[in-house]
Amino acid sequence: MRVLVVDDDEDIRESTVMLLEAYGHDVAAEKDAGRVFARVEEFRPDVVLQDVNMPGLEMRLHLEGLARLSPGLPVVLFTASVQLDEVRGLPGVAFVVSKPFEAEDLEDTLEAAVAGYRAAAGTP
Amino acid sequence: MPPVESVGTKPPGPGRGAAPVAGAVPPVSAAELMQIVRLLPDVLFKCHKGPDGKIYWSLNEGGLAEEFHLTTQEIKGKSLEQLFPEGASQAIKEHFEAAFQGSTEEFVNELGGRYFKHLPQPVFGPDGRVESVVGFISEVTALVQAEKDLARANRELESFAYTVSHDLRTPLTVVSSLAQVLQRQAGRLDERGQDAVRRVGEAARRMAEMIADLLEFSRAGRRELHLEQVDLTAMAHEVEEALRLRHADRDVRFEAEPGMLVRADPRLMRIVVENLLGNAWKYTADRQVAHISIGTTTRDGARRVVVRDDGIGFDEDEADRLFEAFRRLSSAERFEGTGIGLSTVARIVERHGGQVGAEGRRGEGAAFWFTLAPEASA
Repeated sequence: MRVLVVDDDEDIRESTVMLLEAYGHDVAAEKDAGRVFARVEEFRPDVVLQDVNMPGLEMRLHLEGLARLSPGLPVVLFTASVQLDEVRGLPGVAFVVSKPFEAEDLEDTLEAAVAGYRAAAGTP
Repeated sequence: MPPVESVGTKPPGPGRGAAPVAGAVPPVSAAELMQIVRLLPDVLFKCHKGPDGKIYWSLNEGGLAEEFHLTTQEIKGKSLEQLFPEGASQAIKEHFEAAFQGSTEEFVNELGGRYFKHLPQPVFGPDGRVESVVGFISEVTALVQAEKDLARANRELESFAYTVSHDLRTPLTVVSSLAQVLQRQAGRLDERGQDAVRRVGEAARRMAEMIADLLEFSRAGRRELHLEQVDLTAMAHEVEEALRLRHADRDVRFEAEPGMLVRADPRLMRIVVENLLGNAWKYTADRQVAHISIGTTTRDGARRVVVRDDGIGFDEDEADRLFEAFRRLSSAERFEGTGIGLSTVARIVERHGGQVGAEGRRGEGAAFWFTLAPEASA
């Protein structure tokens, strides 16, 4: 699947990309929250793996924008401080992954997010 | 000085009026009592309402009264408003007026950067009305300062713990991810190399759990209790939802008794529910279909909240050790965990005046229960 990794921390971003590539995915990475929409247009990911704490990012607005741009695109949030209350009910959020994560869990979560979207959209 | 009246111990009943009995206690005069009061570093006072409805003092003696030039003699005929600066007098007046309404509530006021604790006692007349207010004042500046320092230290520790745990997770994520990348490419490594990489990944994972659990454990002990009505049923379903998000592949049948209300600190209660349900989720991982429930039952006259699962259970003789910090059971060795979760639960429940316990058998599931203080089981 095609995964867009959005995280401002270079080490996290690069290591996550390497990990997802090791699992055979097509991966693009973006460090700048302001450029995510452009990257989505250009890369057409199946799922976005989005860091929760990024400078200058208002999560709800960001996710609403993404939902308008690419309706139904599943977003998996990626967080070091697990405060699930804060992310419940945000638009488009399929799942939350806590850092650090297990590759298998991340894999399952991304698959479930994409499968959920496909099921909702009626595509196989 | 008002006219001195003799007070003290009189000889017992029948001997009254007769010659003093040998060894009888000599009476203490009011003058002697006053002398003793003045030796106190603190203040003893008595105040009353004047005909104008204002508060006046008929006694104010002790070390602090002398230091502030507020002795009985010095403040004679001056009302509360005349004695204290405007800002201070209003607050003091409210407390004294309350005492004149029968309140015995203690209060602390600030004067010139120092803090004074007042313990007022209303004196009731034969008609049941408050005739005067007597009491005791002591300086608590050092205590107030220590409390402020402690509160600040706690805030600093809290933010330190959060920062450390959050910031440690970032490099740890990198270590963990890269170890997993290498594991993925294990073909390029020899056996020792593969083993090394696996161990790096394992260690990173354990460290991540410890950071999270230690943070929670320290918070559970320090956080001030804010009691309010908590809908335990709704909370259980929220936690269930979060667990389902994290374990999307599991088939868990979950039931929560409807309408469970308790009086508790909602954030701390959330940690209790997260831990108990999280454990139930974890220790049923072997089950194709797991059954987990949360409900209430009454035992020994106390209402218990019970979380049940049909997971691996534990040996009965291990039940007592479950709630000790950093203790893990032999039956749980195959499962990840730091052994802090249940001690965090115990710490929180005990701070709510309740008790915790567990019942189970190896291979036959477990039931973890807690009670709250009787008045909390709303």
